[in-house]
Amino acid sequence: MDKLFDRLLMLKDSRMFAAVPLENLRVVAEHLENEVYVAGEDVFCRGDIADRMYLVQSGRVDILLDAQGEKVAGQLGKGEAFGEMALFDSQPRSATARVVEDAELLVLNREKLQDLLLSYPHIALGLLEGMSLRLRDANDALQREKESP
Amino acid sequence: MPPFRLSHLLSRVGGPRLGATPLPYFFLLLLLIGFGMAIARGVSNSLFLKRYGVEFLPVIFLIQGLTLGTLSLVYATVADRYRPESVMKAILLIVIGTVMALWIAARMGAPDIVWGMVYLLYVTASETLAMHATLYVGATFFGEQAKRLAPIAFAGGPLGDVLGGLALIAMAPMFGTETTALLWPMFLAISLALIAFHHRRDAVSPRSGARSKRLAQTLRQLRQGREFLKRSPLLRHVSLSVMYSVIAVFISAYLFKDIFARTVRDAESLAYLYGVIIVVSGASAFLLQTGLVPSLIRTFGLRRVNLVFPVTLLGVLLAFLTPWALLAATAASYNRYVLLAAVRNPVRVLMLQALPDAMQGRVRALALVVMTPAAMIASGIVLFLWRDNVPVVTAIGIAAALLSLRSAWLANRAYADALIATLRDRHFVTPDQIGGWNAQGSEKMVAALCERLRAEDPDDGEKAARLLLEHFPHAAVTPIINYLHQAPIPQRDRLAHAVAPHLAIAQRDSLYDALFDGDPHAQATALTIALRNGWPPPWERTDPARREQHVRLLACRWVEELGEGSGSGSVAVLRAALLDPGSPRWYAVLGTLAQAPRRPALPLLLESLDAAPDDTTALTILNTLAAQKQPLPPSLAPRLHQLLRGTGDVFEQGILLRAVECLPSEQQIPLLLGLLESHHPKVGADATAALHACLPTGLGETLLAAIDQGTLSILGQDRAIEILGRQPDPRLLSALAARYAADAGRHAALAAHFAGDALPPMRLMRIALEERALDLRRLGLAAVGTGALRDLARTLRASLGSTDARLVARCTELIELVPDTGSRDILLDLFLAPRGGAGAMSAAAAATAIDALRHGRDAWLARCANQWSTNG
Repeated sequence: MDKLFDRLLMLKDSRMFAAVPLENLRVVAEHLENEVYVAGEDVFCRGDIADRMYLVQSGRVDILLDAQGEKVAGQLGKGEAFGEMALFDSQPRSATARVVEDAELLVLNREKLQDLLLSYPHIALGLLEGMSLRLRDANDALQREKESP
Repeated sequence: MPPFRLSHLLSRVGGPRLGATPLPYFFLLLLLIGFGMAIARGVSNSLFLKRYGVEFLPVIFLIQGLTLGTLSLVYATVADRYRPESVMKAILLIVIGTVMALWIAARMGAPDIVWGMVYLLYVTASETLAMHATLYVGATFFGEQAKRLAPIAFAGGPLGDVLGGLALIAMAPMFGTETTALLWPMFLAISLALIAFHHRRDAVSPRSGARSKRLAQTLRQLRQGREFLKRSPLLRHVSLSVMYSVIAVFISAYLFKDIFARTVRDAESLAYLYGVIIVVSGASAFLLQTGLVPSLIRTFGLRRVNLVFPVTLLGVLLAFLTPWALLAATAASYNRYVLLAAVRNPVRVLMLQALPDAMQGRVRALALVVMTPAAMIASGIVLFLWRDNVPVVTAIGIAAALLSLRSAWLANRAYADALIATLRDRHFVTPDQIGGWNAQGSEKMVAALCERLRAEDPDDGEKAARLLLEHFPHAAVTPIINYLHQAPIPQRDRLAHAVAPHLAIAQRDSLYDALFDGDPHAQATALTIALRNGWPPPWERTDPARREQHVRLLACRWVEELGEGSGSGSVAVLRAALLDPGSPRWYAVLGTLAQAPRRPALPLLLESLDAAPDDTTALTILNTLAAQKQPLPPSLAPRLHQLLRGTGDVFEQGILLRAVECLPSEQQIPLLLGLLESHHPKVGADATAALHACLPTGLGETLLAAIDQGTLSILGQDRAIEILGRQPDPRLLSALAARYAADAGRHAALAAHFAGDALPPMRLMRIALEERALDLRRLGLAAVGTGALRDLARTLRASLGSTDARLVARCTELIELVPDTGSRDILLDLFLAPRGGAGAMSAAAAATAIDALRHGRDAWLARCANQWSTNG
């Protein structure tokens, strides 16, 4: 498939963009940039300034809760997204993202997304729905945590 | 079938931890309580009527009203503070203790009033237990569980009722009513033991929490309920209908109990009769509630079924006027014990569900604490005053039933409006305009806006100033001019321009004072304002040395001379400036001409536009050109088309729109149709308005042709439909909506063909088709939603794609209320997701359909179909 359509499906798979119609995602996909990382490299570290989100096009990335890499929050593969909250807030990174298998990442930065939202406000509706879904996930996780013995 | 094992059942009953469903426990508990309370109903009624006397019933009703009100208030205040199981145990203990005490007192020869007290205890206990059982079960089952399991748990109640009635039939004649009465505390004691057993290891109901609530808070909630009653016609009519029906029901109860007491010879026979009534009514209520009433509601609609109880109530009261007293009494008791519980109560709950949740809760509390007790007291007073005059009592009952019927009818009329309003609130469908702002003008509001002018954030200050100018222009001038002294430069210039048209001649100096107090840019702004508004420019206030040096002051001079036609020198200077893009004088001249348009500048600007080296320069010149508000030559159209294709920027589209509006109509239409596609709502709305203005007649045909030819995107079609809806042709729009529904159905069927296929081209095709089907359904609803259907269609549009079954059911119910069959069918087709049915389309048919998409008018689907075709 064309690169654009591959990217569209990847965006659609991310929780954040899942509710944005494919047709509207075209402009977002066109603004994605390619970045290549090798195994062992940190994409970002806990505490870094956060202003971009990433989509894994190939390879694997670990999300670590500490710099030593002992607490692994999860491992992400093709089509998975991370760092999306950076698109909306200015808080430092809460975790470290370390490449464990050579990876090609697609990057979208906050400034570009904000420009897009000003020109294509419809996208914002889908993003709000995506944020809401994430909030529901968090609530569910919290509920499960509370209910677990 | 495996043998029934009590030990097994008890092990389930005693499994209180998470993971084990407490359904058998609740079922058994409610069955036991239901059994005990059925015995209570039979014996308390019989002993009261036979030993104490029906003539005391009005007084009992009065006391019952007072007791219920107080008890509900206490319950609402106290119940939340304790665990529901503890409250249940306390209620049962109190009831058991009191029954036993009264029973022993009666056996020891206490006066017959003791049977009045037993009856009062029964009515109070049955209300309290019913109220608390709902809370107790609700504290365990919630969310989806509540919908699925709670009804099964509650089914224990009617079953216990029937079993209790059978026990009464068997035992009352054999052992006597008084002895049979002991079954009441006995079964409640077994229930108590079951609760203790179930919660023996500190098993707490999942949602129980010791929340402290004070009486003042309960009263505040009740006051809020009263406010809701004033606000919602549906709530008001439903509540009034219930209130009147309570009066009529209590009157009918008095009448049938009086007949039973007179007809049946002793307490045992009466208890036997009550047993039969309980069995029949329990079984009927169970059958009606679980099967008949829901299907009646589905068949005839909630609004028709809402009239059933008031009508039957009226019927049984009228029957008391006939010679067949016993028949009337039997019918009235059936109405009281069966239809009230199986028809009126669930229908009332469903009607109230049209309202927001918070409103329902408050009003339920108000009904329990105030309205129902008030109605009981009213019926008690009526019966007390006229208890010896049956025709008068019956007439009052009939009047109450008629009023109940009228309120139910009015509630039906308010139902659809309430449903739409609630759904619209839930989906944030805003009204088109928030009117009434002007009407609310007041000194207080002006003072508040003036205060905002001094806000630290300049944007806030500017907003306040614009609101003042728009709504209170006379009060705005002085505060805004004072604000100019402190405003940042961009705000200062914008507000100076905005306030200028509102100035009296005498006030101009104060504006100049504010601006000439500043730098040369402020002075240039003052001069531009004078040029724009046709005032004599205040050159005398400028510094002569700067006048000939500062580029903006120079630009003002050239523009003034151009306007006066006072010399070719200024024309030459301006032309040279306009042909020097990017230079300071280019910006200064364009800026001045944009603010102070001059007709002679038009050819100069057109010439500079021709010479513009790039789109950005061209758009800057076009901004000034559009500001001249002069007719532009048709030859400009191709350049505008080119600029339109190259920009997605909202500001640039705005410039283009203003320029397009200056072209002849024929050139405007295609450009405006292009601007209709803008993703920015404001540009889209302005383009919509411009289209309407430039083609007041024949616009409909143009837009329909554009939709037909596929020259408009989904967004463009949406806006085109908005225009079509302003002068709606219902037949045309219905046809359009039906076409959208059919297209959506076809896309959904094709999407279903790809369901479950994870290959990227298939997924792409499926997602694109599903999203397009949703778009088309939205468009269809927009098309059909004109005139009377407008609010409904907007609500449905906002609810499209929802996975909430209740919401979908509500919306479907609303559609069913549409009287016109054609519109109703289209709405149903559009609202209910088209069912493609996986595998319904053969591979060959799917390939043909995709081929059609590849060569179709929908550019996006054509691109996706090409992807599928290349890679699929």
